[in-house]
Amino acid sequence: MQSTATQQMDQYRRQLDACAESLARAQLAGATTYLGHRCTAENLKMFTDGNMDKRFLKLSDELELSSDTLDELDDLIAEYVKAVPMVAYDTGPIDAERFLRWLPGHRALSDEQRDVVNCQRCRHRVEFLARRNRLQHVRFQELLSADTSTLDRRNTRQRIWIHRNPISVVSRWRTTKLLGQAPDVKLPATVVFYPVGDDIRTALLEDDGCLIFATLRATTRLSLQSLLKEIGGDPKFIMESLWDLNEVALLAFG
Amino acid sequence: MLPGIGYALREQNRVVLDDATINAVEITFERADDPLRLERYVGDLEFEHVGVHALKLSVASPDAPAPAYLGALKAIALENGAATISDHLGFTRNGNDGVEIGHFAPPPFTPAALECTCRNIDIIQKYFDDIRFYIENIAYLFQFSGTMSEAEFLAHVLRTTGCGWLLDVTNVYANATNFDFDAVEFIDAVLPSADSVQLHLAGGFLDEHAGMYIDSHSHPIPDAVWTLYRHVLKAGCGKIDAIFVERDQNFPDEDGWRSEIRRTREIMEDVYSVSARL
Repeated sequence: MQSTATQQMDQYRRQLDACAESLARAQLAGATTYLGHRCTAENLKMFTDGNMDKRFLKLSDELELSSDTLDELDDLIAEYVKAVPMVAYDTGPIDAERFLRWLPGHRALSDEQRDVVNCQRCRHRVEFLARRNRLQHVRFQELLSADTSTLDRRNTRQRIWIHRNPISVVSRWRTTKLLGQAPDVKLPATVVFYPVGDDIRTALLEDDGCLIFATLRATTRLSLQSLLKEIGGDPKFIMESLWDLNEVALLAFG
Repeated sequence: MLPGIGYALREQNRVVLDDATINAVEITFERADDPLRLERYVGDLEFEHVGVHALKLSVASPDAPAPAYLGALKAIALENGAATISDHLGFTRNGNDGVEIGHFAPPPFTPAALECTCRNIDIIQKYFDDIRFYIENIAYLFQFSGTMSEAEFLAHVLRTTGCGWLLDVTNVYANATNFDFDAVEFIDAVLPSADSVQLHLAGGFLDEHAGMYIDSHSHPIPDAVWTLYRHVLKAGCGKIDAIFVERDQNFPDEDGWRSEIRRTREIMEDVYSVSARL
């Protein structure tokens, strides 16, 4: 036999489950039975309408990048908001990310649209990674701001460490939709998303950049000598690539 | 000791934060918790009082708040030198793996809800340790059926847990207008149960179609709320440690920001100087 207090608690849990599900989905029947004196379904509707509008606006704002590729974006967001409730502790771009995961199952996407969706998801991934590894992000940004004027751009025997931006996401674009004026790009193109300060940037990686990045992938930092040894090839050419990657804030020297 | 006075920090009011009138600030956790940030949210500015305002502790939920969320809140508080953290008396989800409603709903004012709320606030206070926790009375558009009044429920929470009360004056005004009770009586019934008090002031609008006052933080503070504010200052004199003005839409110009905060301070100083003479 359950005690009265336990029964009351179980009942409370069931009530909050029913009410939260009902309010989150704007399907009011589950909550109206619990309403108090002088409150009607109209009161609940005002509440859920306001929440749905707020959610729609936030998603529209966060998915702005997709708006010129997905011409029915507003309709899709409205459909998503109606069909999929937010999850507990929904913060930052979690809802937008869930929308982008939901989207391909509900609309056939062209390759260009897939690239745009992929781009937006990579940007979200950068944010999620930075949240999990905030200290690494801050430390790397400090390294980036260190003075490199004493380093010799050509000396392959310098005792320095090469640090990879720890918050980086590599992806591939199948179309030129997001490549702007970049000439003669071989498709699919390898792109990397990464933070510089509190901004997220995208860079196109050429073959040598891909190789350097892949070499640093498992370790995030290597001595210059070890890196050159692992990559092989012409050290002077690699040095130039390292400096190029440093200039776009993908690598730091320390 | 006079209460600290300032704004709930928004990008739009950063321009006035160095005003001599302002010595406190409230930061919203969800705004301050940018994973790419390199600087603290309050920047280089120094305040006598910093408070962190949270939205998702959902104190009336049957599940205790997730440790990850508590940890992130505490980290932002420490990073920004906050002495207090606050959240709302309500629920925004069912369980930790459940759904998010999108805004605070009032709990049913029942013994089971009271027990969950007090247990959760105990857990929160233990986790936050030296950072004092305040619970805010919310504005609601509906109520669930219960066995006690909101004032009884809130007073019980404050007495049992010893947490502070973030008295949102405009929320009391909105609820009193919409649900036909006396705002002064409500405040007078709860205030004796609170050891420490913070205040929120904001302005909304009357939705004539629905016949309800909407706490939208979109308009100047209405006269009725200023009057209620004066009453709170008198009744709570000595307990109030900070007063924050909130605005989230229809932002005023710089003069507008400065004049509203000056009025907030002038009324406070007027009430406190009279109280000191008595």
